[in-house]
Amino acid sequence: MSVTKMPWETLGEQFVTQYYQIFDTNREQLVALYHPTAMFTFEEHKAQGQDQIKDILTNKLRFSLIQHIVTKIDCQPTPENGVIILVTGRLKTDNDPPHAYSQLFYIKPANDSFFLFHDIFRLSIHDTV
Amino acid sequence: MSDSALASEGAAKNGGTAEYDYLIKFLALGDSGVGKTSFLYQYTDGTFNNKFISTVGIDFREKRIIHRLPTTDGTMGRTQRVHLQLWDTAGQERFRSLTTAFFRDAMGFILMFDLTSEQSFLNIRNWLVQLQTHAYCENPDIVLCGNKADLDEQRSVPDERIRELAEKHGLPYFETSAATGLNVMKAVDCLLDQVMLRMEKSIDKAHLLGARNGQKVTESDLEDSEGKSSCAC
Repeated sequence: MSVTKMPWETLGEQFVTQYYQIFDTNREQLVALYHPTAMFTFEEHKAQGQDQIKDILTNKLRFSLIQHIVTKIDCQPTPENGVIILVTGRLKTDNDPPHAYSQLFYIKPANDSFFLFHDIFRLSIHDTV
Repeated sequence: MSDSALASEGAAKNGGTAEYDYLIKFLALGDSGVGKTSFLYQYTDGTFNNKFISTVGIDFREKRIIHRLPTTDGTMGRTQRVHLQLWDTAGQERFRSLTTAFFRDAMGFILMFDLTSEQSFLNIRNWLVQLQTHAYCENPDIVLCGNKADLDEQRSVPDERIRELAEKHGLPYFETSAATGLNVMKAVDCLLDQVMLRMEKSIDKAHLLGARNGQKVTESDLEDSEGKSSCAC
């Protein structure tokens, strides 16, 4: 286990911090992080492209307040200079108890900046206790 | 799940040391914001003794009650000690996410909409489909509640349409208010009557079946055999 952080790890962590900061305060602005061809899976919702993603983020999610608490961020570099990021965390919506979740991101450079190409979110709730 | 398996779940707890005769699980369903949590809070006398099972996202409250079976001839029905578990979502319906665990183990359903939200009423149809798909049987016991009756001026669901829906699906209907307590007890009692009647019937049926086989069936035999039901649920 290396003590020094690899550059893609720093990049991944910075991205995750920024993503949730925007998600929890200004959800409609979040779409700016997605590449025009980005794919998005959020529980049963599936979308591709900024318009569809924005529609889900702003119109389909029925809570007013949300807070993400990240437990772990795991990163791997890809051959095309991208980073695969897996987030393990918990979130709290309005007055509900906290839910555990996992979220996977793939970020990659495009036009001198990093964009989100893939985003998959799933609550960690199960069919049996 | 068969009726007898349903009964066994309650009767299985009827051991010598148990302090209650039946463990009954009800589930509150409906769109987010219709008042499910407030309703259950009102029913359990405003106590905060809720427990949360995070793996399945179920939040529940408990209440002990003495239930008297309704009779048709006006005599006093048998009394039973009931330990009632009231299951609530932990908000995952905001993400359109409810796992099947949620439906499967419940014996009765409090299906709720908000009298001031037409959308929540329209979605009752979707909830009924979900129920029929995932509940222990295709026609589970349900009580329909139009909540927020205290917000009289903001009502947006016409009575006639509610009556139509309730009649079409054979659902008892109550206008409720989690804020004032209006009909909260009545609605839950109504559901409990239905579920207890269903259990009585299935137990009676089991008794009859036992008698037909020429065996003397005792209460403990019955519980034993039903406890070993082959039901996969």
